[in-house]
Amino acid sequence: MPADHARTAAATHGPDRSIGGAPILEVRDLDVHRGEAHILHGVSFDVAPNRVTALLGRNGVGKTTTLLSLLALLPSTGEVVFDGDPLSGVPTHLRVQRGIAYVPEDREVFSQLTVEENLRLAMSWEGASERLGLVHEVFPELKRRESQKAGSLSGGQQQMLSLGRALLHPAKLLLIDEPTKGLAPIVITEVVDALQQATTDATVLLVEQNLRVAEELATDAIVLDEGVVAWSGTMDDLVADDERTRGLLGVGRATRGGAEGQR
Amino acid sequence: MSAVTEVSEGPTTSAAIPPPRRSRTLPITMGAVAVLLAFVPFVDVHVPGLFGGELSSPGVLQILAVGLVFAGVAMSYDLILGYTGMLSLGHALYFALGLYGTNLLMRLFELSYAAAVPIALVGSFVLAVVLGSVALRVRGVAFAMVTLAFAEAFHVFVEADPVGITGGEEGLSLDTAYVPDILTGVVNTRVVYWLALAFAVLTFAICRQAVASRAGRVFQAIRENEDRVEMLGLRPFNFKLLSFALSAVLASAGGAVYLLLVRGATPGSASSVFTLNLIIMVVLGGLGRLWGAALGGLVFGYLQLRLPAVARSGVFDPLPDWLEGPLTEPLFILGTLFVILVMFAPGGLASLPARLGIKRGGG
Amino acid sequence: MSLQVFVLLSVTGLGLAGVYFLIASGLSLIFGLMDVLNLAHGLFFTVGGYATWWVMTRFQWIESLGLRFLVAFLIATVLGLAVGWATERFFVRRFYGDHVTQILITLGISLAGVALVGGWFSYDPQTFPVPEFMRQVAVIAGARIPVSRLLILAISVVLLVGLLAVLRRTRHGLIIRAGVENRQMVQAMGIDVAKSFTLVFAVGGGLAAIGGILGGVFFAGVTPEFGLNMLIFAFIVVVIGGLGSVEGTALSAVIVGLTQQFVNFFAGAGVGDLTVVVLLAVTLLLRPQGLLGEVAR
Repeated sequence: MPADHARTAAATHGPDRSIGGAPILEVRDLDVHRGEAHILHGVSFDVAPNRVTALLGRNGVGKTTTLLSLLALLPSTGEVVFDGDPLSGVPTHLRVQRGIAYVPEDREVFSQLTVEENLRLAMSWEGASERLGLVHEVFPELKRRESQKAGSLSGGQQQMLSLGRALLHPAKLLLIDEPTKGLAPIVITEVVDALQQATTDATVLLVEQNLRVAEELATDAIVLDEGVVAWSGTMDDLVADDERTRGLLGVGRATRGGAEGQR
Repeated sequence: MSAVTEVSEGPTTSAAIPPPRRSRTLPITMGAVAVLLAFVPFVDVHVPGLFGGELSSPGVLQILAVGLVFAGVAMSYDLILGYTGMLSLGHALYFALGLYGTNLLMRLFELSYAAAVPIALVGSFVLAVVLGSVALRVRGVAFAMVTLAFAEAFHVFVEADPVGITGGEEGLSLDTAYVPDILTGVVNTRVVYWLALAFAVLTFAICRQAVASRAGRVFQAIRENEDRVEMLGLRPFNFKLLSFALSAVLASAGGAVYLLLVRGATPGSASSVFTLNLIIMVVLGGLGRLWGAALGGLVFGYLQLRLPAVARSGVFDPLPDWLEGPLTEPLFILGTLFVILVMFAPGGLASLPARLGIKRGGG
Repeated sequence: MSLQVFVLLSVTGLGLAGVYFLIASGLSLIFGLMDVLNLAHGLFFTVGGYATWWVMTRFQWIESLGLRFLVAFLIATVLGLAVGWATERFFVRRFYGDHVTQILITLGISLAGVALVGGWFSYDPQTFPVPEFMRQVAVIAGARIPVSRLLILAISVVLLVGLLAVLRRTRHGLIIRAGVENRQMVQAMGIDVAKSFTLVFAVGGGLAAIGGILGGVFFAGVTPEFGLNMLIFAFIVVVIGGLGSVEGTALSAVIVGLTQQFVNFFAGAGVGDLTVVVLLAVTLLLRPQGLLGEVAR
């Protein structure tokens, strides 16, 4: 499918986006099999620039699978248009070079490498040295533990390293997969604060299990259910309807009561 | 391992292993082939080019018998590689155990051939269980390396001969005093040939029975996805060990027959090169297909014995030296053929008819 | 045991360890980075040995044996790099993700290669002259040590240090070390990891070829099956050391080389080789991931 066709499709079927301009990422009919399991059955959505879009859904609906196939780390069929160019046939490293940065689930820092070496892998990007200063500002811990092996960091510190590594990339789109997974509540607050600081004006597609965190960070939401997009719109609209939230995500307002109190 | 690296790993991604299939006509076809082969010693026909003499001549029967032994050993190897998905690089060890074990039992304890063979097979079984238990602590490539190391230890043992019983590099010739007269001497080559045929047929029957059994289905499930077998509450280790030990005993039986054919045991039979040759046989024929392995073994045995004779006949003489040398090397031709086949016809010889659009009766 | 015997066996064992290290380090890196069990690695070794033999016996117009050996060394190394590069580029690369096919292809290359060398140069051992200084004997602690042994040891140590420096100090090395741990994440950082695959294969080929040169000197000759035989011990070294770890490979090579020499000397030829296999079994039972390996594979 040529790019302009995809864009027309986005205009007709895509969610209404009055703010943000033309989408930076257009996904059409994404279909993914993993082994014998058919995970995604034609997923279509857009990601608007300069906003944080949350990709939500119950465990195992294919959120991580979606991110992996956007990076060609999993084979998929369907159309992905990034920044006006179709990505089909483009291998992982070239997709990243075109401006997609990735913060994987479970951090995936290189545990045998030092913190500095982990960051150095991402230092070949243009302007990375200036951004390194910012990363060290947001995550002072990374500066302090520069020569420590990444494997010896705590979960929260590894998450910061994983984020910092992605932030060195002058990316047009940041894919972040469950940044708070498995972290202690106090560390979650720390990571969320850092994320808020780091993603101002950035374009982010965020997979998040914790609805409270998603609500705090994202303006838009896409909900996956049974391998297709079940709902998309603004985060505010999503959480306004308690019934729908419960139906789609299995969590209701009652279970997030604390979030309101904190805000 | 991390989530990202899990992607696209796993044995099911290999194009070299075809999905399992069963055929009712296969036993009938194989039976018919076996009957035909059984009559070869009575056919006084000369096939020019293909063989150097009449089909019934001892020389031709010797070539065919070696091919049949290789066919049987290749089928036993297919049981672990093609059906269970374990890459053992140490199968030569069990073949050589049958060869040296039988020979040593006869020479050291003055046992008859008929008594020595079963003892050698039991010994081989026990050793396979012990070494298999150690090697199966690791999977995949590490398993391949460990089995290779064990086999090489035996190779070094028989070649260096520190105890002074295996004859070192020279090997250990067969003392015909312990072998029934009917199995010795050039005139009786046809009897040994029938023995080799019986070994191949029996191995086919046992392997086929094994892969069709409940345990055999677990073997194939392990090949497809070992973790899932574990999730079903089965212990893959036990089944892998079973497959490994059964395969080892069959290979040893092949070694015992081979002993009569070549009238001795040489260190080459224990070398890793023999295992690598087995891989070539099995893959040439098509992994996970018993008749493919049998065909691969036959073709390999034939080429290995026939090519040097063809080369001596002067067919290659017009060629320049740099080409003539390698072309008289069976392994050069087979190795090159093998690489081409793996690259362009991943299912092996057995897949060629289908690839070429020729109908066949399943396999 | 007299001190002289101890020193002689140690230096010889360390020389052997150097040869093992040169063939095993590339094998270990290739496996660590790409999950490819490269059975053609022995061929790279053989190529190095035969190239040296070829130059030493045919390039008689270079009168100085020392100079001729230097030329042989360079040609053999370049040939090893080229064969390693070509193996990855034309055969292995086409089948990423399909480990079985990759192993089978390297197996076919290995056997066809041995037969090719055998068909060209026969299976008889080939010997070649070495420079005069290598045949001299140095006296260390009363032991008479052939200078060639010391040279092998020195070259191996230099290459070990060089390899570690490249891995630790250069960007290519950084990418390789990261890739050994998590190949896909390296790609997800926008780095073309396939370039490192080619590099590792070429460097592995070059190191193995140098191993073949030194092995030819150490064992005073080469045979077509030389590399395949060494490959088996290289496997043992790699598994004991831990797949993917260069430091582990070096440590393990020293242990295996010394064990082999000492046991073979005191308990009889062949017993040392068997002891090494026992060492492997013990390692697997106690520490399946190898001495310095991080994860069991």
